[in-house]
Amino acid sequence: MQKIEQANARAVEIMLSGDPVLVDVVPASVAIPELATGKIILHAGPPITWDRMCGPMQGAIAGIAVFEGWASDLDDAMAKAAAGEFDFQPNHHHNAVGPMTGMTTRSQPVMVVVNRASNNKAYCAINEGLGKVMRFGGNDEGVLKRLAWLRDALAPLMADALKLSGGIALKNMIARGLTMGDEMHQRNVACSGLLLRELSPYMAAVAKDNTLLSESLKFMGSNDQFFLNVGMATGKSIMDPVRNIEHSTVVTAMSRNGTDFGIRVSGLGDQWFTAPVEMPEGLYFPGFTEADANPDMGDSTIVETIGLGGFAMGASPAVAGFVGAGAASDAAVFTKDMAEICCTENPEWTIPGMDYLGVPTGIDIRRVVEVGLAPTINTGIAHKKPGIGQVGAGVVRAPMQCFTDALRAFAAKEGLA
Amino acid sequence: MRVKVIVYSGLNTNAIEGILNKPKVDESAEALFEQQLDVITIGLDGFSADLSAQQVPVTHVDWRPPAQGDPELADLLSKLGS
Repeated sequence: MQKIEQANARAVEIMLSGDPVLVDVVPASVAIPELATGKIILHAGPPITWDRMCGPMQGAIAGIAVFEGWASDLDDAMAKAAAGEFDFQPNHHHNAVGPMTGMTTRSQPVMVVVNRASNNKAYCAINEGLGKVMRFGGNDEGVLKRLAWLRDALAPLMADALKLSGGIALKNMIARGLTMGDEMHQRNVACSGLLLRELSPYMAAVAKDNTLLSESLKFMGSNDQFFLNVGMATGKSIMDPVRNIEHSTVVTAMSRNGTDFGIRVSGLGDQWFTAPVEMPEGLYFPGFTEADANPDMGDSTIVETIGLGGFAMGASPAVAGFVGAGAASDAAVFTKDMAEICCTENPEWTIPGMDYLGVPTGIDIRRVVEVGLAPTINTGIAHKKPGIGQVGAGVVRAPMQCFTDALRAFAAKEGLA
Repeated sequence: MRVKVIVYSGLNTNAIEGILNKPKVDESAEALFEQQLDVITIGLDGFSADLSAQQVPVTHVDWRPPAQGDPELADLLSKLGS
């Protein structure tokens, strides 16, 4: 099967040569023109209908419908959603990604990451912070007010600053973040700081209002997960050019909508292979338990798809404790396990504490099925009811069924089954 | 390392002791077990852990049946060059 090896070599070559740069923040309807008309709501994960959506996903949809002026209140939004007035589509179908519920609608600002190696763009909304936020199903007045501030205040300031900067290169920033203890999914402390350090002089240069500047810098500086959404757009910009390589068994997307987990495989085009999503095992914030938790959710698994998150756990011993994955010394085991299911390692994204081992890169569905190890994902945990928000963080495995189904389909396409 | 005995997954410590205590083994095998044993275990960690606990030198090989023992998937993997 030399043609598979050659195709996979091409896939990881494209991944490793990716050159993601954060260049702009624009309204989603500008980035994704299809959103300009109709009532399209982009969500995380593979396609799903309203009746199969989990509580936080429905809660976020109700909130974003009110935010866009498509409903008078949350009850009205729920009724209209159930009546089929909104068009639900995955972010992944529009070069976009979104964390947890992953709401993307026309007036929301999205960050634009350009992959200069392949000249493609990827989009992700601005991270809202922790606690009660829309990505975890939050939808009250405070959540919507924050979204409006992101749209009307922070986004234009960031856009002007990015234009003045000429763009912020992200590949080296992530490399530095790995050496500073980030794995870019549940820990983004270092990269959030590095981004703020690079962007803040330009924000100061373009700001016309010192109060707004101060509020913006405070918001960004106090959000340890600010970089998560940047990292996700980075992942999407790196993986989209890997799609549709004939004979390649490399995974190009992993994503979940709170009900289903889905993967896409390069040689199988844009077909989703789905299975029921799993429940994360993790630690809960005070006052919450596993009984409150919603199953796994979000497009953020795009960071694992490029070798970060659970795949880079060895770089981030602090995360192992935060997500309840064991002792700090166990972190390297996760990375070594993930190396077993990948084509290669990334020589530019290395882990000092593992003798500069490169992060595992290029998930091969053949290796996943053969070894019997499903990808490890670091994740936040949402409350299962709408409107409450994040209740913990943990680790979850991708369902093996996605990979066995994809393997059978791949073998059939190759005429081997 | 000089290898004298390979213990495959499926043999546990009791089984090894059963071999060692078997009343009628041929002389060459008996001689083997009178020597210092260097053991390789394959599969479950518990095999090597049991032996280590008894101060038996052991090297563990991390191995799983391909495709978790599913013959159909193992056949497809073979055809796909994995």
